[in-house]
Amino acid sequence: MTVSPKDAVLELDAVTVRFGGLIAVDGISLTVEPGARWAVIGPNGAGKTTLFTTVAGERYPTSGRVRMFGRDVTRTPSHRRARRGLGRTYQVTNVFPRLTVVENVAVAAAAAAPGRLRFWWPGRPDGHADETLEQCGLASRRDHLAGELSHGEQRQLELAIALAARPRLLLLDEPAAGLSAAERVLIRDLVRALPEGMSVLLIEHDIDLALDLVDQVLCMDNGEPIATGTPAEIRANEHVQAVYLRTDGDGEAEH
Amino acid sequence: MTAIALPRAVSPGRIKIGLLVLALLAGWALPYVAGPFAVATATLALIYGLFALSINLLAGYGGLLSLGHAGIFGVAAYGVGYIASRTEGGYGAQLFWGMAAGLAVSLIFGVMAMRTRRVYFLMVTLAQGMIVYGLAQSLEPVTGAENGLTGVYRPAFVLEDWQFYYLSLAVLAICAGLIQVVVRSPFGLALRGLADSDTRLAMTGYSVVGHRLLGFVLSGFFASIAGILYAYNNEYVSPSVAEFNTSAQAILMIILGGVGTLSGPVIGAFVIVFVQNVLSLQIERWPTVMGLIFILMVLFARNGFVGGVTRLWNRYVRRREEP
Amino acid sequence: MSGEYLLTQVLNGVSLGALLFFLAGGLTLIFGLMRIVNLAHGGFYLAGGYIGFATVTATGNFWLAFLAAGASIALLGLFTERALLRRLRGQELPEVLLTVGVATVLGDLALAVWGGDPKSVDPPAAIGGTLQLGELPYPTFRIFVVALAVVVGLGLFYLERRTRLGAIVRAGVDDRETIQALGIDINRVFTGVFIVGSLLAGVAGVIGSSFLGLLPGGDVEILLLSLVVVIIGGLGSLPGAALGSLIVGLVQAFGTSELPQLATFIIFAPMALILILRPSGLMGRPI
Ligand SMILES: Nc1ncnc2c1ncn2[C@@H]1O[C@H](COP(=O)(O)OP(=O)(O)OP(=O)(O)O)[C@@H](O)[C@H]1O
Ligand SMILES: [Mg+2]
Repeated sequence: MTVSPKDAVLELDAVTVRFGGLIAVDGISLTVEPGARWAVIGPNGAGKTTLFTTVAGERYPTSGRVRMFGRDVTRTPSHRRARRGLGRTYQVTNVFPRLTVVENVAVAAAAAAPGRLRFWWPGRPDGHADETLEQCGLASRRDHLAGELSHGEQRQLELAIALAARPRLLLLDEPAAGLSAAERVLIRDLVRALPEGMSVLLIEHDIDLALDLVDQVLCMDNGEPIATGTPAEIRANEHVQAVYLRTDGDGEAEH
Repeated sequence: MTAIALPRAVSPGRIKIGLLVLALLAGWALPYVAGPFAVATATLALIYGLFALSINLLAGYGGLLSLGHAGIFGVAAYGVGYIASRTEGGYGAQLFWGMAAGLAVSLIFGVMAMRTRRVYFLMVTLAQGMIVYGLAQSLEPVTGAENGLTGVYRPAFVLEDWQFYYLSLAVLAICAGLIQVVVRSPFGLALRGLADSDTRLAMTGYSVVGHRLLGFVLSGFFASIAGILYAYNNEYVSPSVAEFNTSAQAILMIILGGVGTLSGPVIGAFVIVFVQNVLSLQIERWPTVMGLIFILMVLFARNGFVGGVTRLWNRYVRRREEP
Repeated sequence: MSGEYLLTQVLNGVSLGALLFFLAGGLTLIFGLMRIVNLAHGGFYLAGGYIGFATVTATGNFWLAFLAAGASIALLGLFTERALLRRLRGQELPEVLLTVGVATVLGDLALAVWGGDPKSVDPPAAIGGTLQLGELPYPTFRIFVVALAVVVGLGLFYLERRTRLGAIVRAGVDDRETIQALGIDINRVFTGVFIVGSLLAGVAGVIGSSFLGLLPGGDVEILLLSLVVVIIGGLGSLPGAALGSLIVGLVQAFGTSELPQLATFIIFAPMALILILRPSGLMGRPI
């Protein structure tokens, strides 16, 4: 199968995920074009993270299909998807706490380098890693253990690890979760500065922040898609408003 | 020396290299200054040190503690013993089959264990080791059961104890060097990442199962070398090589010396082997003593010797640098 | 293969399975709640057996042996949990390593006290002798053990599924924080469960003493079989422990009689198969 540049980066076709009796994701279909920026919004428990997990291949859908970079990857393990150009960050910080900051990023950069299994370093070990650290504002923390960083810095590192592999499709699960207003600005600028060709899916509870960063929005509730459209359309959508009124604002309570 | 103490930096490189040179010098000098008992004991410590290093490669870096590596160690020793005592095979064949048996078992055990982790991994590897022990005891035609295998002889160039000592020292030094290369390579970094978060590692593009398996087989490779050395050193192989206590003792060496360090397991091996050989002349209850040390170390000193010294060193350096 | 031979082996397998269930049930319960694999379980078994042996030797009373072994191993469990494991709560690896230390000490002390010669206990007259199963005479004691295992198994199952304690234990399996949030003193539950598991191991030792005999190294052997049981059945699942015990008991019985030299090896096959196809065991939750 050849991949032409016009092909969508990601196509979801009626993806459904069940946990026993609970339907966490219910028939989501979505097409993401190269370079598109999508927000995925919805109240707590809407199934946003589960949807990401399915796109990432950490869990296979109960039914429905996932195509990525022009191939069917419905049952392809996550490391293969990652190698083809998928990156993701986690809602609950998931870094390597006992590696140094630069090692955290270097391990991701090394994965992207050709020839995965190496017993020696190609050239300087962390050239690209340092670039990524610079970009994410972590250069000064380079040699600290990741586990010793502040929460905000760990969120930056979370992003840096995902970026180090230079993904074509990036899934950001509440990158600003639990951050102060100042730190949120930092993350916002980081996301805004992502390379243009990179497709991004962003989960974010702060609607204003989210809609500010994207050109397309998917709104979910109870696993179902209740609306898709541009930020303006979504703001105007009554159904979306109803969902958000029902859950009383932006559902920030969780963290 | 640079002014900034890296938080993870153990001791600056020059001191490390100095210590290494000192250790090698001491190793080289030992047969000149010590008696035959000390040389024989040190040989055993070198072999067990290599065995402990093999377990540590997986446990200290990959976060996977195998309780059954004595099975791999034992299978390699039996491989040598079987060819030497039951067939006409020369040294080439003995080495080949010892290694092949060790690697084959590592691969089989690795495939079985690679989808498990943490406590499950521990249980599975423990069972694997015990099964080898059970086979060693019962499979008379191959292992000689309780009688073991005699008829293993050292090659002519290492007949004397001091010669075998130098051989063991050289093998340990080479293997330790190789392990260091592995640990510092991209593969080693991924292995350490695996210990911290396998979901994140997979999402970064690494096959978690593949890395676990490769780590297991590499670790089995070094355990096999140790087992082969053991067979020649002892010139006799019996079920006790594959005993659970062999694994437990190696783990104690690692904990005593320092988990996830290169020198720790070897230091631990020297302490344990010397204490055991000196003490066992005085007291019969060595396993009890070992078990008690085990409990005390786990409860009170889990960083081990190297970890403790490193900490003190870092504290000292930091204090000196603070104005 | 005659029908009689088959029946004998099946009975041998089922009764060995019954013995294993006493150990595996305890292992699984302890793991289910505390996430600890108690590798001293084999040592508890062997110590229980020797204490039972000593009791029978001194008093001639087999039932007293059950009591003495059960009580002293329960105490040993209490000590292990309170004095040692509690200091390491929640640190998975150190906890297991600690039990390795305890196992080493127990095995060696048993050797020191009772020596290397095999010991065994004859069951009392009431359950000694044989029972006529159709044409086939079969030791009554083994049938008694199977019955006892069924009773204990049902008891544990009832405890787990129908009582408040069981609800706590099950909640603990899913989520430790939940129980703490309910204001329950989780430490007491831990201790309780650990004691129950230890007691069962001690009682199993007495059963084993007249079943398999007592021998240094018997602790390791029984631990291996119990580990295989929980690996096959799924750690943390009581029905899994029952099913696993039955499978391992049967495989072991037929293995020992057909291919004695490979007996230890034969249980390797089902374990390997399970691990590759279903690493969490037949009835365990995904790991
Ligand atoms: N592994 C799981 N097993 C069972 N149920 C799960 C699992 N993961 C998620 N769920 C359930 O699926 C539903 C969707 O969860 P999900 O985490 O995807 O929501 P979300 O939209 O990301 O919410 P939030 O905004 O709080 O992060 C929830 O009801 C959750 O309880
Ligand atoms: Mg979520």
